[in-house]
Amino acid sequence: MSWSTVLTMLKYFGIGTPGFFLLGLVLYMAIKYPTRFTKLLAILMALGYKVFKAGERKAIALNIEGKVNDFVHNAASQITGMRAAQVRIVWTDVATTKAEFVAQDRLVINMKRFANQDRNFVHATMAFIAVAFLPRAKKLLTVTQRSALDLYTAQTLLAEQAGPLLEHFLDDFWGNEAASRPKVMELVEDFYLIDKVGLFRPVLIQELENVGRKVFHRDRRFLVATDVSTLVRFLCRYAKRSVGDETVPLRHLGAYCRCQIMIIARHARLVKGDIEPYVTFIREVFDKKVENLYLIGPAAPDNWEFMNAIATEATRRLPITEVATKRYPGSILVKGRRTKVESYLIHLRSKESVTYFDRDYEKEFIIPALGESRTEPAPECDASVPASSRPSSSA
Amino acid sequence: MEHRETTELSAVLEKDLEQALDALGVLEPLRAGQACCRFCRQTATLANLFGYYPDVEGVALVCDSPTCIRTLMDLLRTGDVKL
Repeated sequence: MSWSTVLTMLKYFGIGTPGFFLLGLVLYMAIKYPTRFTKLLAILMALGYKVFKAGERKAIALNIEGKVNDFVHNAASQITGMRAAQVRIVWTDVATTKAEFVAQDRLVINMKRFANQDRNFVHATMAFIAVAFLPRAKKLLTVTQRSALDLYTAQTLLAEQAGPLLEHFLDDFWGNEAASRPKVMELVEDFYLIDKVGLFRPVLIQELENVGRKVFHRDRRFLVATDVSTLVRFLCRYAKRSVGDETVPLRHLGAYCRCQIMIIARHARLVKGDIEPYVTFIREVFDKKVENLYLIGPAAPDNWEFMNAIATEATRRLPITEVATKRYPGSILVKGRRTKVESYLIHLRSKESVTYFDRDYEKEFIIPALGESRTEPAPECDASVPASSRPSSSA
Repeated sequence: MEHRETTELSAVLEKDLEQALDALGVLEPLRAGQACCRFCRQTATLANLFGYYPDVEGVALVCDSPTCIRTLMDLLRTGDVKL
C-alpha cells in the first residue's frame, strides 16, 4: 500500500494532512514512550471525565436555577417588600459520613441524569416554593392553605413552560391533591378565580406578605388562618362582581388583614377632575384602621392620570405612602360576560400600620373587630360619607 | 444593587447516589430490599428514591410516590425537614 493510498483513505474518513501528522505523532509517542503515553492518556481521560461530570452537574443546576429564579424575580417584583429569594443547587459530597449528614440536617434530592431534566425541575421547584415562597406567612396558615398556595403558585410557574414539565407536575402533584385533598383544590379554584381578575399577586399575596411581617406576642395562627379564609372569600366575591354592582363589599376588616379596594372609573368625576370626594373617602378608610388601600381602575391614560392625582393628593394630606403602582391584565364581568381589560392599581399603605401586636393593642382593636362582621358592606353604603361626596364604584 | 437571599437545595446526581448512600451506610440494606420509605413503608430502591434526610431513626429515605413527595413538602413548609 503506497503512502498516497493511505493519505487518500484518511481523507476519505475526513482526516486531512494536519490530522495525519497528529495521528502519526500520537502513534510515535505510543511506541517510543509507552509508559509515559499511558500516564498522559490516564490524566486526559480523568480530566475529560471530570469535565463531563462537572458539565452535566452544571447543566442541571443552571437549568433549574435559571427557570426558578426568573419566575421568583418576576413574582417578587409585583409584591412590595417581598424578598426575591433565589435557588442555588449545591451538589452533596458523596463521601459525607452519617455523622456529618446528621450535623448538616438537610434534605438531599436525587437528581436524574441530564436527559431526564423535566422531573428534576418540577421537584426542585416544589421544594423551593415550599421553603422560600412566603415562608413567614405560611407558618401562620393551615396545612390546606399552605398546600393550596404552593400548588397554585407552582402551577402558574409551570404553565408557562411547555410539554412534559406540566405533565410531570400534573402526575406527581396536581392529580394527587385533586384525588385526596378536595379542600386544597377548592382553595386552588378560589385562587384561580381571584387571579382571573388579576388580584392574586398584587392583593392576596401582598396581604399575605404583610401578615408574615407582623410580630405576635402569643400564638395567633388560628386567628390569622381565619382571617386569610375570609380575605379569600372577600376577594372571590369581588372577582365575581359585575361592573356596576354596588352591593359587593369592597372592604375587608379582619383582625390582622385590613384592606380596602376602591374603584375609580366614574367618567363624570373624571371629566370634572373632581378628586376631593375621593380624598375625603380615603381619609375615612384609613380612620377605620385599614392598612392597605388598593385604588383600581381602567388603565386608560386619562383615568390613570386621574388616579395618580388622587393618590398624590391623599399622600400629601394623610399619613399614608404610595408603595406601588402597576398595570395588569384581568378579566371582569360585564353584563354577565367575562371581558378582558387592562387595569391600573395604586397601592396606598398607612404609615400607622401595626407590626407588633401586644395585649393592649389587641384588647383595643382586635377583639372588638372579631365581634364585628369581618367583611363590611360596600363603602358606598357607609353613612359617614355624604351621598353627594361618595365616590362611585361603577367600574 | 438588589440583595437576593439564596436558598440552597442539596442534590445528588443519580449516578453518584450509590456512593453517597454507601458513605451513609444505607446502600446495603437498600440493595437487599430491607430499606423502606419513611412515609409509606414500601420498599425503597435506587430507582424509586426521591431523596433522603436525617431524622431520629438515622437516614430517612423517601420514595417518589406522589403522596410521599407531598408529605415531604408539608414537612418542608413547617420546617420539620430542612433544605
